[in-house]
Amino acid sequence: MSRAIWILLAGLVVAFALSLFAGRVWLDFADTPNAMVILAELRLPRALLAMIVGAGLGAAGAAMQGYLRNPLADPGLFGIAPGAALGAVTSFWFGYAASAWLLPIFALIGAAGAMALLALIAGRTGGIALFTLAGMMIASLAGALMSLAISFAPNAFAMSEIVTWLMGALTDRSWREVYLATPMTLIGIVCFWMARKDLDALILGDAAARSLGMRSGVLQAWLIAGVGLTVGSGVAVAGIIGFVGLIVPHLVRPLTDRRPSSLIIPSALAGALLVLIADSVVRILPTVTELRLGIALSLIGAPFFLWLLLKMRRGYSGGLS
Amino acid sequence: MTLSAHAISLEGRLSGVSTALRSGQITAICGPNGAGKSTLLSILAGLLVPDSGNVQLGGDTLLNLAAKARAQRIGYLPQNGEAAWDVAVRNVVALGRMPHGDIADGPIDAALEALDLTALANRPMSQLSGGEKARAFLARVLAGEPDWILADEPLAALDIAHQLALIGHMKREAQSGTGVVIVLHDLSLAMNHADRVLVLDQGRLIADGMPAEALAERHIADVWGVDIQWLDDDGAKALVVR
Repeated sequence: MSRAIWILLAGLVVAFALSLFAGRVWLDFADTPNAMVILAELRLPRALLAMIVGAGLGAAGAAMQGYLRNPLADPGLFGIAPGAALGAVTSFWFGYAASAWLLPIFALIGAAGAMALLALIAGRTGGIALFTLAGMMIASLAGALMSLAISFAPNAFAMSEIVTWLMGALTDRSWREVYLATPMTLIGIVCFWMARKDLDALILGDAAARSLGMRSGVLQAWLIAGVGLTVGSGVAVAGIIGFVGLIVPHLVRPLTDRRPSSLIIPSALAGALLVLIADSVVRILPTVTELRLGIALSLIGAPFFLWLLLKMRRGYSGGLS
Repeated sequence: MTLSAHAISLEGRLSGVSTALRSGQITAICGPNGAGKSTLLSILAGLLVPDSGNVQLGGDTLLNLAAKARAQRIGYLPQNGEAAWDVAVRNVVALGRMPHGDIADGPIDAALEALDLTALANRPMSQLSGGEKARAFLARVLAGEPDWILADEPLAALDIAHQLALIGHMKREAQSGTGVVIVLHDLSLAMNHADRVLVLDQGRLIADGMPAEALAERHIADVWGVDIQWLDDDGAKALVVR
């Protein structure tokens, strides 16, 4: 295993242990009433869910950047996250969100719908540009439909629920969400792993990769399945959590040999670490209501993105690629 | 072994091109811009499907071969190669082993050595000069030990010394029995270094033969519309525009 993986695993172990104690109440097993209940029913599932969602987003970001050969690519580009969000918004609109299982199921149906549409448009031999444009089109369509749902929300309560949910958070999540997201995310990461050699071949460009035996349709199928499972399940349990897929591969790349295949697992671990730390921090912050995780990560992510653009403008290439 | 095109046509780009290329030779594909050179090379590499006609590789129809089997036999070097990520030279060269499903050190080391890259193996691609990058991309093809090397303008953007060095590497490959097919803009290089030249114009094959015959002054006048003369200096030919 590479050095990056060991460093990240060590970081995860420490952050995981600390996150179990951190929150509105700092757990002290001697003094805190119901400490075991808080730990087992609140902190533990929440920490695990943060890691699972972060791992999925990190790995999806690494795969997307490898596929598009672009350091600015993000899993949201495929339109799968907006598709999942649209599904979830629909469940709020119809008032089904109160049921524990219906919201994530609607979100997964939304993700599957976006995946199917993407596969249908891109076809068996679609090029990278067509595939990306199809994803962007699906993302903007889903975005427009979400805005439509918000503007025609049946009541003010539903509207507020939708807007709040879209901000993304892990507040009050339980083992149910962990059981839902864990297998899907792990299978999704396996899909990226299956695509790793083709992603490496794409270092040389589309034509050279195809001459090396890469089959565009097969690679796209692995990526659609991978992004659908990781990002779709992440949105289903936590709402929209942006920027993780964009930032994490950049943070990890200097620790690896920069091949997309070397980036998938470290990005999954770093994504898990980033979301776990961010979620622990929003719990500790002395705000009246808990800062939404999606907002916190966007507050970190947007300046990072700007810094990235400034570096590109200055013609800096080493760190970007 | 032969790589042969049978009445290849692709709407607006190629019409009825037939030729049988032999291994152990350097074949240059020449023609003005837009003549269909890169299109023909892509079809010969199995990367582009013609509207009609077919390509035979030995006894096999190219498009019937599985992608991996085809990739083991044909190495393709695209125009203007660039690595998307700043990986080490050795990692680029190792990609040549992908069709074989291994990262065997033997062929990778041999390819690095053949192109004088052993000392640069661990250097990131961004720290290489244009000539060194061109060698690294060719080494990637050699590491796959293909029967055929198809290269699209591999000498463009290289200075004359690097052009001669790279074509020297390709000659050595041809001498060891590999079939080498290169798209070339520089007619002097084609005249002096290729064993055989194909001249394309507007998607049609105008000439196919020994360089002196295919690149005869009258062909160049017809195809490029330029009046030239070949000057002979002790066997080496230089092109002069009249």
